Amino acid sequence: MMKNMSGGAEKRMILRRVLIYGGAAFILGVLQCSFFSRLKPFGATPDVILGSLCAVSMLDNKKTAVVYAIGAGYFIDTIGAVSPSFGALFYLFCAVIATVLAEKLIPRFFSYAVLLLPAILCRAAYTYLCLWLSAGALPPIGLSLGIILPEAISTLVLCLPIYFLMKICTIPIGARSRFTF
Amino acid sequence: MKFLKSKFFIVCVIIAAVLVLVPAVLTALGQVDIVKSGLKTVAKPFEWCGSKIADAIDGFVSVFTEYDDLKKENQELRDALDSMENAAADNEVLKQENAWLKEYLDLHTKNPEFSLTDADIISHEAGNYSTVLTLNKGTVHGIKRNMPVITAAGVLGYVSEVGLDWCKVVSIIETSSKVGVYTDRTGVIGTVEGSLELRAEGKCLMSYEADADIKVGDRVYTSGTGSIYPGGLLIGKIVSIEADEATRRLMAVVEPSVDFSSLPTLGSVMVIRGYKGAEGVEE
Repeated sequence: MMKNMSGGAEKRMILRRVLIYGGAAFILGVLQCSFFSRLKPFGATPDVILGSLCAVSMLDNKKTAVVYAIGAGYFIDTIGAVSPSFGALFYLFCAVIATVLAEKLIPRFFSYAVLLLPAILCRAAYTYLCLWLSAGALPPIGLSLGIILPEAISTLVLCLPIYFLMKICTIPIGARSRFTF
Repeated sequence: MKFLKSKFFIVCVIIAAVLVLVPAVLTALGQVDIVKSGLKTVAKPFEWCGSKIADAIDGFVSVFTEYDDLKKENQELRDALDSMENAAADNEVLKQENAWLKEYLDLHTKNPEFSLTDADIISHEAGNYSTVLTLNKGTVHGIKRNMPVITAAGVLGYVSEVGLDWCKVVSIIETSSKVGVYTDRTGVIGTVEGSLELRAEGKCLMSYEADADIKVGDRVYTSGTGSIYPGGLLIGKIVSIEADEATRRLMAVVEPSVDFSSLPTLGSVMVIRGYKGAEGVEE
């Protein structure tokens, strides 16, 4: 869509994306670190940024999803993790997986729910890796599942409404052409 | 696949790697990441709001969800109170406990060299693999890296990163935490470390020599060795003792006096900004 735009219109569209997706990442990041991490629904903090990333991958183009992943990953590392943390790289990896899969799916809510599953699998692997790095030894599977399973359930359930939030975000951007109910 | 080989994607990967590496290196060098610090400062009031809203929701929901539990607990407490009133033998124990609690609450009076700053917990970790807290005090309040953080109950952890008006705290149950300690009864010296297995239960491990005299119930205090914690701060008490077959040392499971399961409702903590003999922090 942006290919058909003039230089000025394209710049305006990019600025609009930065503001809207930046705002969304900011709000969701703050929610994740202060609201959900306090309430711990289903016994764990959900990764709502991951849900928003899947939605951007499905509703917008690849470049936007990749940039969103890096920005959101860096922001979530900044406010809710201790260095060294690999949020930017992890979400970038998820964005690649999500955009590749999203190409093959019809952009609907059900597809989004399906897309969340491999993303949550990536998140589980990332959490396991972080546990491994923080412990300095391979953590026991049983123990890891006690952390990973609640996180997966919590992420899956709370990320479902994120799709509609991100859908609203895409209205001013004009990326709705990819979306129908 | 074509996209993955594009210049745009390669540049993005490089940027992501830089965003991961630069903060890690700056933190390792003890330097302040200006971008990170700025972002965190901007996010802080929103995090505070989110935390307060979560508090309100949690309180509202608990009225409905915990009514039966509270009723049952109330009855149990009544029974316990009755039995305590009739048990004169317990009086001495209660007296001792009261004396100890009073002694601890007078921490500041007894340790005038402690320079304390109170701080509120404004957010928690983003993931579920570590216990990291963010406090609402930073360099402008005199907070520096490696300052100990305590609560009325005991040691909570230490400051690992500091921004302008925020700091991150790594708790003592984290695997990256290591504290020099001694026991009150026999003065056995050892180290308390976080354990991945015990982290979920809010406990940690104390390793010590096999011939040391340690019993379940012994209280564990910071020894003051190392550059972070002053001596004499309560860590917790020993709840069980196990043999470590790998190292042939004994490992005692320590239940911290700070209840890590209730951290979200803890609210306020104290940062020790300085104390006599501190190396890494101000005096």
